[in-house]
Parts: sequence; structure tokens; C-alpha cells
Amino acid sequence: MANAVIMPKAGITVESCIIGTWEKKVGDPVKIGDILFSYETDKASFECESTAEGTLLEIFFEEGDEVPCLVNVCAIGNPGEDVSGLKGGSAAEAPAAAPAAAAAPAAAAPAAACNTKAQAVIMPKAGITVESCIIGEWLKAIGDDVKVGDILFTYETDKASFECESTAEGKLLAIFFEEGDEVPCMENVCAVGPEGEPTDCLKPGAAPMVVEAAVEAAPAAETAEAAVAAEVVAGAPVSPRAAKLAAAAGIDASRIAGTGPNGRVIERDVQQAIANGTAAMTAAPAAAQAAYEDVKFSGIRRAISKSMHQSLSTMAQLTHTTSFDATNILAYRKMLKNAGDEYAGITLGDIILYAVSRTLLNHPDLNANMLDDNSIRRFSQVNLGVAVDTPRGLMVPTIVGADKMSLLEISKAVKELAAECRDGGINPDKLSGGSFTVSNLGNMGVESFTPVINPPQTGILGVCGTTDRVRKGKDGGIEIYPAMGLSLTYDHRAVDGTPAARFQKELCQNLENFTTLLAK
Amino acid sequence: MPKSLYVDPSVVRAPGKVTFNEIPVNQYNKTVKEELESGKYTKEDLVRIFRDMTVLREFETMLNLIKTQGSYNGIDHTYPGPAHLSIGQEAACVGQAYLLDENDFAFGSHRSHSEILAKALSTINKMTDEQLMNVMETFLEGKCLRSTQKLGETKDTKELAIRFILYGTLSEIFARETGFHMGMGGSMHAFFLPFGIYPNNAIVGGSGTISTGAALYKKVNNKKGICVCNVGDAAMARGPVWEALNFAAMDQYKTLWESHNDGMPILYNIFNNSYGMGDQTRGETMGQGCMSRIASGVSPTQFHAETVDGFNPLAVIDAMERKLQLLRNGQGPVMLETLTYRFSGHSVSDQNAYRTKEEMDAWKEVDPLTTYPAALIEAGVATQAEIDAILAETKERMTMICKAAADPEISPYCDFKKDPAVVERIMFSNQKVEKMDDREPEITVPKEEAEGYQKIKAKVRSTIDADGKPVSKMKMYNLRDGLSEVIWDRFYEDPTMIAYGEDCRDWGGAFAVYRGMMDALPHSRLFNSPLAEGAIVGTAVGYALSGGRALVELMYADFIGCAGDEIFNQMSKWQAMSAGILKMPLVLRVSVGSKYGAQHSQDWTALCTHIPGLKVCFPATPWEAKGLMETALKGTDPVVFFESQRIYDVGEQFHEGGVPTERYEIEIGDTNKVRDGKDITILTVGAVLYRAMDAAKQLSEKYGLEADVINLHSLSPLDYTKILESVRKTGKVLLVSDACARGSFLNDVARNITEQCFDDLDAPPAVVGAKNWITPPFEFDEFFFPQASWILDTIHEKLIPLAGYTAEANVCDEAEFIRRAKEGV
Repeated sequence: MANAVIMPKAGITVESCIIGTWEKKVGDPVKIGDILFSYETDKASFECESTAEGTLLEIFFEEGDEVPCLVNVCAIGNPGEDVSGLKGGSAAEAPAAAPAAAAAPAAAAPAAACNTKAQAVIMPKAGITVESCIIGEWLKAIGDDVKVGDILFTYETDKASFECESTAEGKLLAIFFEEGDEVPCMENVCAVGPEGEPTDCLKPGAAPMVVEAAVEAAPAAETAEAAVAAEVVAGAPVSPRAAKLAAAAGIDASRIAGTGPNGRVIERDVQQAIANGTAAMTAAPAAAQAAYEDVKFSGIRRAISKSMHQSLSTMAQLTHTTSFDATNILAYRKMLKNAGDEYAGITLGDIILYAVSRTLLNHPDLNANMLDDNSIRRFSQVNLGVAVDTPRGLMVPTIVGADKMSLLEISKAVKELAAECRDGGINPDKLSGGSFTVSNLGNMGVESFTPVINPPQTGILGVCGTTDRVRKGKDGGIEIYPAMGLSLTYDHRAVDGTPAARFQKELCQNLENFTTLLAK
Repeated sequence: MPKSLYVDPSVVRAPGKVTFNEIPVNQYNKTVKEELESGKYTKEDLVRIFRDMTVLREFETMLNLIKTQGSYNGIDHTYPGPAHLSIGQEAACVGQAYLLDENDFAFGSHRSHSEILAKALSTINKMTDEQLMNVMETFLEGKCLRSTQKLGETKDTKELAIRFILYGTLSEIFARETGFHMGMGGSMHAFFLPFGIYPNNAIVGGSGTISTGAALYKKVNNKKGICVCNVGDAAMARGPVWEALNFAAMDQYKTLWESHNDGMPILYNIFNNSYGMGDQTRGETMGQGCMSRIASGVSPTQFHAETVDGFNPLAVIDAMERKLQLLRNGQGPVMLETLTYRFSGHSVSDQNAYRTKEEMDAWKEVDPLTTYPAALIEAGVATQAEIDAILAETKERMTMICKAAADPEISPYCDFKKDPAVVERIMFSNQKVEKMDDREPEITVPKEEAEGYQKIKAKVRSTIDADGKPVSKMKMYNLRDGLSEVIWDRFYEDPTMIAYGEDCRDWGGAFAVYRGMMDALPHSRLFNSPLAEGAIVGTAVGYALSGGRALVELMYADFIGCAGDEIFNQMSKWQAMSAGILKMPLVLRVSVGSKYGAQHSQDWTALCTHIPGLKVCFPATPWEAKGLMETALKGTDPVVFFESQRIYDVGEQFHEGGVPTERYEIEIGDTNKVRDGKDITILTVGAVLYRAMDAAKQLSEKYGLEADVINLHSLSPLDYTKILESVRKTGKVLLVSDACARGSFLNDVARNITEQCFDDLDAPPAVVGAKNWITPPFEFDEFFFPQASWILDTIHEKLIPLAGYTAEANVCDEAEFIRRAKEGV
């Protein structure tokens, strides 16, 4: 049987060598120890002695070829022997098979590692963009019986709140997060199962439960906690950098929750506090504890806080206030009311939304989103955000494609969205994507205000109340008319004063001649 | 391992015996009269020998009085520094120097005042007035001369030169700005290059290797003159001295060197006064009996050794004449044991507890300062009056010199208050020199035909080729090539440049940096050294301070310990101790190992950065390697050039466009930012760069943190500008290297960052290093050397907790920290 001569491994880190010169040619007789060829690494050159005796039957690599170590370089044997099986072969082949086989059972190990009949209930993903939710209230306590479908706890995103139904049956064995905790979606929240089953291995961040796992689990859990803990600790250390940033922002760093090592308040905590609207700024006297109540923001409140502060701190906002003669729309509204049915539900606010949806496309910089400091995205349709007051706070659902909807359709859409917002059941995806927002405080008697832009939009229209005003009539005498206020806040980075005023002027004209607009 | 030398078992194993030649001891037996009659000396010569001995004796007598009584001849002065006197050894020194001139380099020890002065007086006698004036006017722009001239007119230029050398030496000892080296060398490091007086050395035997390197310089570069290595008897116990003897005796000069194949032009002279400090070498601490026996153990020539009576100046001159003849015939090295005796103590605090009064009196009976003038009178060479006149003149001159050197008006101290940077300016020479000598470099193959060089040139200088495909390891220009390419270039440019170390030639260096160079260079420019790190570095120091460019290698950084004195005391200090007169164009390559366990894997950058006077760099990419080697091999400062065996094969992954084909320099002190980020700064030293980049990738992909990664390819000097800029930006910094964490250089960097950026820090800087253990076998590398996971763990635990990250056990809490520190592990 023919034997292969391999490319030797000329050092542990050498992976391949280049063949220098062949000292033997095919057909030459070869003895053990004869030099077959020279080869070189980048460090040195060597000579390869034959490890077999016979005739050099075939050469698999030529001079100058780079050959991986341990690969067959040539074949030596009796003339006429078939050497095709040796070509491309390698000394490394046989042993290589063993580790591959050994790897198979290892893959199964993690599954077997968590040896418990208890099942985890996870934090559901409440929308594509939702990454974490806050636990609202636990409706079951540890030890309670739980059936599939029972409501375990409520949770909320920054936009809506939900109820979590149990996906398992048995007793509630362990609760991993408390009320108010923020939990990443898909993370285990609690464990349900037969009484007495272990649950440690279901605890987030726990090592797979093998024999020694109990010892390992404690520090691991501690670490996980450190990474997310965000409680204000009296006397917690503050990094010099965080202290400097807090001082510059006028924040009391001792009232910020530290997420650094050992609870240290670090830069990111102060940045978070600033983004959150500096709740920590007001330092209350320590003795007067009974005089106030500290309330943790709900998810929605936190989102509002962050969004509004970001809005005012990052944009160049200014507000124009004008008014228009509301005689026409008041008359039209009266007409609708008299018409009854669903038309009776159309409000002055709906009429203004309609007028805005028909005016905006002539002013593309106001029907837009800022992308960064240097560019904006202009929308080809009007996606109108409508500010809705809810028990949890302000929410802004979006009427997509308002410019193509009739007045009645707009009116219905607003009512549906507002209702969903008030029950808290709105799909979070309906709370984004607006190109412009209208906020109506007219029914609260507000005469003029500076609405805050909903980022990344470039404008927001505030609708104010109606007041009677006087003006010089056609006959030169004084006449009284109902004037309705409109406060437009716009981002001066995207829109200048004159174009903004032009929009307002066209909007007022459209509202004063609303019936004509309807005919368009 | 030269193939041309066949190690024949039939010869090696053949029976025979080793024979030795007899070594002459005190064989000189001529009288003054006989010498005079033979015409070898004139009367003036013989008298001048006495005059020189009186100058030496008076100089040290003066120093002894200043030290012990604070006063000499009415001049009060306090001198707190060292005064290792050799009163009694004057005849030996004058005899040795008698035939030497300014082309002969003499190196000495910490007890060398008399050697210096004798060599100076002999040289002054041989130089013309014009030459002398030129030396004095140009040395330190005439500063020493002007101070000397303030002492008044002299009868001739030689007398002016004598005053000049006495004044310059004494003000150097008294630490005055008017000393030959601004007082920065002092008593134990005084020298004067224009007269061929080379550094004396406070390290016993320190001159052994340095003088041998100077002789190598003369030999390789065809320079005139010989070298004298003066050591005491006790210094012969020191390893580096033996290493030097062996280096000088290597067979290859005769068997392999194609040119410059004469013997090494060096005389090893042992001034044997029978004592170390208080230990007696003869009969107590050593066993040779006769020091001249030592060379018989080193070379079949026995270095033509002999022992001569150093109490008779004419006997020493007689021996020197024969030794110089041998050296000039290319039969070096040679050895002389010059027997002498020191009447003074080792230092002024010496109570002579180790010897009897009887013994000292017996030697004083034969004091050359009385026996030699008596012989002159007896031979009719001089009268007693003439002898007395010489003594009086010597004392008068010494008084004048002492007064001037002690007077702060004439001889001011360096003013550290007015000029706090006085020493800073002399620490480094910071020059760029293309060639240290102006002649054609000796090469055997033109660059265009040098196969090894052309192979490097043909490589792909990036990790991906023009088509965006990964380049195979064999075709890729790697870190090793970055070093080699520059070394090739410099060999073709600087005729003085030589490279040596263990296995540098045939093997191409243990890590192949010199691969192929043997085909283009004669042995005199690239050779295998003995396995003697002290000699490798020490001779390179001597070669460099003599005016040549040396590139030497220690195979593993761990061997720095074997060359500790040579690196830490010699290589680092001579530029500043000479106040900038000496240059040290010496690059020492050391390689940080892996896989070879506890004594072959250590990153000892901290030891080298701790020592003032060394430049230390540690490239981790081919681009860095090439640019830094280019700078190091053009500079005039000593550079310890760290390399890592883990990354000789890496290609250039960071520098845009790969490694440039053209020449470029990277300043030693710069830093290399290899990754831009805003969230955290990672500073790396050495091969750990690649593990840090892995960690940075994970930080970005899994935790949304972007790391600024800066490789510190230079450790000292180090420009902190970009480091501080980055830390101020990120507020968080992690420093990582493969050095053991305790005492790592990075702790120093971390401390400096903390001080400069304290208010910008979001967490204390975190240093990650290897464990404070021995390096375990390679199989356990991941438990000892920093890994990417250690970096992430440290960031998570010490700098900024990473959401969802679970640390392994690589960061310890306070209790564990205290335990480890308490146990020293």
C-alpha cells in the first residue's frame, strides 16, 4: 500500500509552509531519510525527509505552493499503486472526527440543566418597538392558586397599560420583580407550578441549575440587580464627573439613583435625570416627611416628562398667536348638530382638524419630522396627532392620512382613538408616526398658550377658546364677532417666521370660509 | 551554528591534554642606570615620570585632607561626596600611561583618579601645543579653559594643560558646573574624552564589558589605538568581567570573520592591590593566587598574560611596551596584572581593621614616591634639590587648583533653583543621525540583489488584498517584516551599524527578524554573540559611546535580569553623567515570550520605564514596528525595544492603507489610536491590544458602548495629550497589558490620569494585568494573562455596569483584594 508524506508542522504556530524545491521527481526510488523537498516558513527553511520507502508515485503540490501543515504532499509506494485516495488527505483528519462527535451531547446540556416543573411567565412584548414595561400591580400573591388565563399582574409601557394573563397552572411560586420595576420584554417575571418546585433557575440572570448552581446564583443575581437597580440611596457615592455634570445642570446629585459600581451615581444617571426632567431638583426638608408624598412616575408620565423636556431643550421653539372670525364654523357646527345622527357629534375641534389637514400640505416644512440638525422629512400625507387627556396623562394618537378623510371620518377617528387612549388599551403603534399635532384647550377657557412640540415634529397648533371681540363694521360702526385663538408653535430650525405666519393666515382664511373649503 | 565549521567527532573525542604556557611574574630586573644607558629614556623622561607620580600623589593627598580635615594647605572646603583613593598606586598608573596617547581609550573603576591624571599627563606630553590649545578651546566651548586661565599666566602650554586637567577633574569631583561634565559624573565617573580617557565606573567591574565594546568599535571600524580596561583585583570575581574576557576571546574573529579578523585590541589590566574594600582577594575571597592566571581559563593564548611589579614604573612601562606590540600586531586581547598597594583606606571612613600596621609599614618602606627618586639620584639622573623643586612645584600647583575649584566664584555649582531643568536637558540627546561615520558601509550583496530584503518588499502590506480578500499568512507583511525592513535599510546606510546577540546570524535571530541578512553582511556587522547577556549589552554600551550604532538582542525579555547592571546603570546613565558629551545610539531588542513558562514569558516594561535615561517602546502592529524602529535606529538615545512573540506574525489591521512602502518615523512617545469611541477609553500595551479589540467589539455589539482604543506603543517618554483628551471625553478608562498587575507601568499611567482628570472621571481608572504569580504553562494562559472577558468584567464591575451582563470571577471585591495583597499574590 502506498504511503503519503505530509507537510510537517514546523512549530506550534505554523499553519502552512511553502514548498521550496523538489529534490526527487516522480518515478525516483526513495529511501527513509532521503530528502524529498525543501520547505519554508516565514522564519526559516527546512528539509523534508521521506518517512516511507519505495518509488515516488505522485507529487500533489508544486514548488512555490503553500501547503497546510499535516496535509499529504506526495505519495510513495510500489509502481502502479493507486494513490488517488491520498491526494488532498491529511494527517489531521482522523483525530478531527473525535471532537466533533463529542460536541453533540454538550448542545443538549442547557435544556436539561434547569431541572424543575415550575414554569416562568414572561413579560409580553407589547408592541414591536417596546423593549421593557413597568409592572403596575400584582393581582396574585405568592402561594395563590393560578389557572391559565388568570390575570397575574398589570403592566404598562410609556404609552398604554395592559394585563398579563397566566400561561401556566399551579401555585404562584416566586415573583422576580416588584410593582414599579421596569422589566425587559420576554424576561421571566414570575414562576408558576406545583408547590415546592425550585424556581431559582428561572430567576433572570441565574446560572443554569446544575449541582453547584446554588452557590453561583447568588453573585450572579446580585450583578444583574446592580445593572438595573435605580434607587436613590442616601449618601451614595457620586463620581466626580457626575457631580460636575449635576452641578452644571443645577441638579442635586444626592437625589439621583446611582447605577454605577456600588450604587455610585455616574454620568449616565445624571444624564438620565436631566432627560427625565430633573425630578430630583427639588430638595424637600428632611424633617417634614408627612407634608408630602413622593410619587413614582408612571411609564406614561416618565415618557411625557422625557419627551417634553427633550422637546424644549433641543429645539428652537417659538409661538405665534392669531385669531380668526369663528362665525362661519359656529354656524356650520350648529347646522350639523341640527342634522342629527352621527353628524351631531362633529365638534369644533374636528372642524379645525379638517381645516388643518387641508392646509398643511401647502406648507410642507410644517408637515414634517426633524431627522437631525441638518435635515427634515417632509410627508406627502397628513398624519395628524391629536392631544388626548387621559387619567394617566397626555397621550397623542395619530390620524393617519387625515388629508384624505372626510370631516365625518376625521370626527369618528378622533373619538375612537381617544376612547382607546382613555381605557389604556391602545396599540402603542398608533401613538407614533405623526407629522403635525393639534392640541385643543379651547373648552377649558384658555385664551392663548405655547404648546410644546411633540418631537420630532416641526409644529403644533394650539386651539384656544372663543371670545367676543369688537371691530369696525362695514358701515363704520362697531360690530361684535366671535374670535377664536390659534397658537402655532414651530421649530425655527426648520421653519422661519414668515412661512409659519403664512400657514396661520391660510388656515384662518380656510376656517373663516369653511363651507367653501368643504366644497373643494 | 556555522555550517562551515565541522564539529568532527573524531577530533573532538580524540585523546590528548591541555597545556599551559608559563606566566612570567615580576621578571623585570633593570636599574635606572641601565635603562638610561640603553637609550630608551632620556633624563627628562625619567624625571617626568617622577613628576607625574608626585602630581597623582599630591592630588589624592589633597582630597584625603579635604575629606578628613576639611582643609588643605589653608584652603577650607567641605566635600560630602565619595573619594575612593589609590595612594600608593601612582607608579602603576604612570607606568601604564607612559606609552599611551589620545587614540588609546582607557576605562577605569571607582578608584581611578590616578589613572585619569596619569593618562592625561602622558597625553599632554605627546600632543603639540597647537593640538592642546585646540582641545582646551573647543571643549565645552572653552568654559573649563577660561576658568583655568583665571589662575594666571603659565610658562608654557603644557603647564596650562596640566592645570586644565587638574582643575577640570577636581571641579568635576567637587560637583561644579566648571567640571568636565558639569559635576554630574563626579569622583567615580570622571573622564575626559579628548585625551582618550573614557568613563570610569562606580559599578565594580563595570568597565569590563564597556571597554570590550569600545575595542569592538575600533576593530570593526578600523579606528586607531587600543583600549585599556582597568579593573581592580576584586572586580575579577564579577561575572560580566568574565563575560567580557570571553567576548574578546571568541574564536570567530579568526575562524569566521572575513575582515577585521585581527585579535581584539584590548588590554585587560588588573591593578592588584590585594584588597577589595576590606576583603583580601589574595588568600581570602578569591582562589587564583595570581590574577594573571585567569586568562588561561579563557583562551589558549592565555592573553599573553604576565604579572608585573607596579611599584616600579619602569617595570610597568617595560611590560606595557611588549603588550602594546602584541596588540598592534593583531594578537590581542592581552592581560597584565599590575601588583600594587593602597596606603589609603578604601574610603576616608576606612579604619584599616583588616590589615596590620606592620604590613602597611612594610609597603611604605618600598613606596615608589621615595624609592624611585632615590634611584634617580643614585643613577645621577637628578639631584635632591631637583627632586625637592618638583615636589614644591607640584604642591604649589595643587594648592592653586584646589583654591580655585573650592571657590564658588570661580567654580560655581549648577544653579538648580534658577534652572531646575538643568539635568532634564542632558537626560537624552534626542538627535537624528543618518550615519555615525562618513564612509561606505561594508556589505557583500547590493540591496537590489538581497533576496531577504526583496522578499519583504514583495509582501502584501495589509491584511486584505486589493480585491478585499484576506491575505495568506505567508504573503502578508507582518510585524517582523516591519522590524526587518528598517534594519535592512539602516545596514545599507550607517557604516557603523552592527547587530549581534544570541543566534542572530545563521539562525536569523530566534524570531527570524535578521533572516536572510547573513547573505548580505560580513560577520563584523552581524554575528552570533556568546550566551552572555551582560556582555551583549555592556559591549554595545561601549560600542555606542565610542561613536558607533549598535543593535543588540536579548532573546527573551526575562534575560534583562542577566544584564541588569548593563541596562539599568550603564546604557541608561552615561549620556547624563557625561552632561551630554557621550551619545548612546543603542537599540536593545527584547522579546516577550509565550508558551515557555515562568522564566520565558514576562513583560518587564515596568523595570525599564522605572529607570531614568532609557527610552522604552513596545510596538503591537507592523505599522508601529516599522515607524518606531526607524526612529530608534536613527536616534542617539538608548532604546529598550520590546517585542512580543505572540504577534510577530500579525498583519496591519488598523493603519489605513496598510504599512507604507516608503520610510517614515513614529516618534517614541506618541500613541496610536486604533479605534474611535465616545463611551470608554481602553489603553493597551503589547499583544493584549488584540484581546482588547475583541472586548471593544463585544461592548459595541452587545452593550452599545463605543470604546476609544489607544495603543501605547511608547511607554517612556510618553505624550499624555491624546490620552487625557480621550479620558476627558469618556470619563472612563481601562488600562491593560500582559505585565503582572502589581508594579505594572500602567499603574503609573492610571495614577497620572487620575491626577490630571480627576474631576472628569466617572470611575477610578481600572488596571488589568496578569496575575501576580509565576507564569503557568501555556495550557493555562487564559487563567494568567488578561483576556477579553477580564476586560468586560472589569468594565462591568468597576466602571459602568453593563445591562444584562453577568461577570465571571475576574474582578475581586475588597476583602479578596486585601487577602491577595496581604499574601503577596
